[in-house]
Amino acid sequence: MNLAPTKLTDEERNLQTEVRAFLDERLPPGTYPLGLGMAGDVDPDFSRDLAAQGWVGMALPTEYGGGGRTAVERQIVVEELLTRGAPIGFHWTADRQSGLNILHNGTEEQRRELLPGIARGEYSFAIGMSEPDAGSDLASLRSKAVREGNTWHVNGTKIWTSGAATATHILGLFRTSDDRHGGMTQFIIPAGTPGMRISPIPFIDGTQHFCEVVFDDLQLSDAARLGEVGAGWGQNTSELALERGGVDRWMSLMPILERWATTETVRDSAAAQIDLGRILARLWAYRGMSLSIARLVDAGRFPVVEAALVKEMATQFEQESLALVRRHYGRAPSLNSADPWEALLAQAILVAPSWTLRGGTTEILRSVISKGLVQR
Amino acid sequence: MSTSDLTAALADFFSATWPPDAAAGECGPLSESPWNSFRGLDLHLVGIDEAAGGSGGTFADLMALAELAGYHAVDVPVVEATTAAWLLERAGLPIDGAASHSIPIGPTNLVVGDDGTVSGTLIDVPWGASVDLVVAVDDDGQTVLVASSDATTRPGVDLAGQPRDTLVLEDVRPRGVATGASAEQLRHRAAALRIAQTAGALQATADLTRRYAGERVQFGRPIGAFQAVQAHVVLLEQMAVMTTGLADRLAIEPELHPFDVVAAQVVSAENAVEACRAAHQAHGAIGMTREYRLHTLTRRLHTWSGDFGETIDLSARLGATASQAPSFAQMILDDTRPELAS
Ligand SMILES: Cc1cc2nc3c(=O)[nH]c(=O)nc-3n(C[C@H](O)[C@H](O)[C@H](O)COP(=O)(O)OP(=O)(O)OC[C@H]3O[C@@H](n4cnc5c(N)ncnc54)[C@H](O)[C@@H]3O)c2cc1C
Repeated sequence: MNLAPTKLTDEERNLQTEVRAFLDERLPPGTYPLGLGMAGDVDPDFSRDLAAQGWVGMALPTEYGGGGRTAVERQIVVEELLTRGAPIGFHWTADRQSGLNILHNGTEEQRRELLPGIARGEYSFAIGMSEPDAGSDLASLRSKAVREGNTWHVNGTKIWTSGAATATHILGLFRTSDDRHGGMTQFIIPAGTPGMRISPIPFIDGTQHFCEVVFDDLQLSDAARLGEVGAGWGQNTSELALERGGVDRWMSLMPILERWATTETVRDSAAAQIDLGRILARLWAYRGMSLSIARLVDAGRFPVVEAALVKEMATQFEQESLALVRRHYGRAPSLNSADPWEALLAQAILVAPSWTLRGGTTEILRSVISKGLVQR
Repeated sequence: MSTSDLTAALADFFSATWPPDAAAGECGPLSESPWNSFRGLDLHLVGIDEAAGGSGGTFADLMALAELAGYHAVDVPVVEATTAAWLLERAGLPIDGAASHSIPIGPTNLVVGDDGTVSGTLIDVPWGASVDLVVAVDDDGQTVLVASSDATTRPGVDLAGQPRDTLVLEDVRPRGVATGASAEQLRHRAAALRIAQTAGALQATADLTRRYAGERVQFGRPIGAFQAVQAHVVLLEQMAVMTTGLADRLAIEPELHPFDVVAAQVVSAENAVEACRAAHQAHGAIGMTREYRLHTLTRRLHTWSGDFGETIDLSARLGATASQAPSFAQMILDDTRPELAS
């Protein structure tokens, strides 16, 4: 396994400068709730403004309203957003994966209908994969879609569906036959479709992004099906590769580090500086790897194992870094602190265990890497 | 010749001279090593212009050579000899291609007196007593070339059992003195090569462990079938891929940025230590023996992870720099590198 070294071109650097200038203007510190990476606040206005710059749906083709740009260019935008803890929650999932899934597997009609809305930052997607009894073992899912003529009847329960309460669409994976892997199919369900009940499950830090979605004889026309009947597993797996590869997997802590680095605690403590330097060095190394992965994507490759390899170690390092910051902070920070940074630190302490769960657990990723090594 | 052509062309020589499954014995003086075959291919002068008496090739070629040397646990001073040659080139001093060279890794206190003689101590010079010449930077930043036969040598060994000698110079007539690279530049160049060498050794460690986990049977299955053992194999692959990536990143730069080298050193050294732990854990008792290959690699990794700067000092410098920088994130995302705090 080898990740070729790469650097940003001058054009790519220009994009970075542009994004920084825009965000300086649009998101001055203190004017928005700080978020932890991709778990940033849901703010449809911000998503639309960002989209107006051409920075949502960047990887979608221009004929569908997208930017027709590269994975590297998208990464450049994402890095700046994550650094600032920007409110990206509304468009995140659609931008990262649902749009591309629809582009690759959707009908022409679905593409024309959905992709422009994604690229305008108007559509928000939630991913309905997990179920109460199907987490790591996704193939054991039981929610069903049964066909009657041109109508599908959907029944079952999805759980831990991030952002479902605010999403305009839910892209769900349902069982359409008993064949373990070959019996799953994806459907696109607009919010408000009768027969769907979405209830937030309060998250450990008190937020409400996490949801349970219950389907009670929800009816969909066949036009809502994404891809072939039975092709859902493969589509979902490719989507997970997109979900794992990027910097969003290890930049959750950036808004905390960005500020911590220049606090007095660090300036006056040799011990803290040693830890900060160590964190800096390692994040610098991960950045190089993520950039190499983005280049592979742009070269038409599907670096599934490489993405898992980076995600597995980088998310654990995020947790380790947080523990260091906390130790130097010297006391337990408060979620209700008037200082937004302290509140964010408190939130991070509570949610950090999720970093090595979401998008595939550490243990599952190790299996992915391990199998990948045997195949090479 | 591209870098990958170079390493492909050399692979046979390395495999034949340093077989990948042999366990290294203790290392003697240079005359008892394959140094002459190594030198016979002019590999000791890679990365030095032919006009200056070198054998040509880019810095990237030299990094690839160091990586290969690390993979094969080569027991000749590859990094030291090529860095010495580079120091001579930078100082405009003649390079004797027939001679063997080394550099000090530990602290030096070298002074050129008014009468032109040098005195001082060079600590931790790999193969210091058995190379012909040693190149060091003195307290005034000048490049000084001395013959090891003019020094009193105190033998030492590193953790891998390779010679690391101390040279004491008393009013010795140097073979050359000139202004060239700074001590800092010397450290960065050598550190980059050490990272490449470490990357190679980590690849070898990962390969060896993966193979062993596939062969060793306990409870009726190869131990590699157990998830807990797979985790060690995965970690080793991660450390190898990551460190190789760091070396490759340094290799493509037209010149080394201190920030990049120091950051890469910190990560590479930590990776080496983590990898040694995981490799031994996966190997069980066999890995603790001298008859098996693993120690050949892990003892080198432990040695190298402190060379040209200890992690703690390097991290402190990075942290001090970050605490003064306008943006932490931009240090990671930008190519314009901040000045490193000292
Ligand atoms: C913040 C967050 C956001 C999420 N967002 C979404 C979302 O939007 N949509 C969605 O569908 N899902 C979402 N999830 C769910 C996520 O995909 C699952 O949590 C994940 O797949 C793990 O499943 P589980 O929680 O059921 O754990 P389990 O599968 O029950 O695992 C529990 C433990 O057992 C280990 N384990 C299980 N099987 C094995 C095995 N074969 N070998 C070794 N160890 C094993 C796991 O690694 C873990 O340590 C989200 C989760 C989090 C934390």
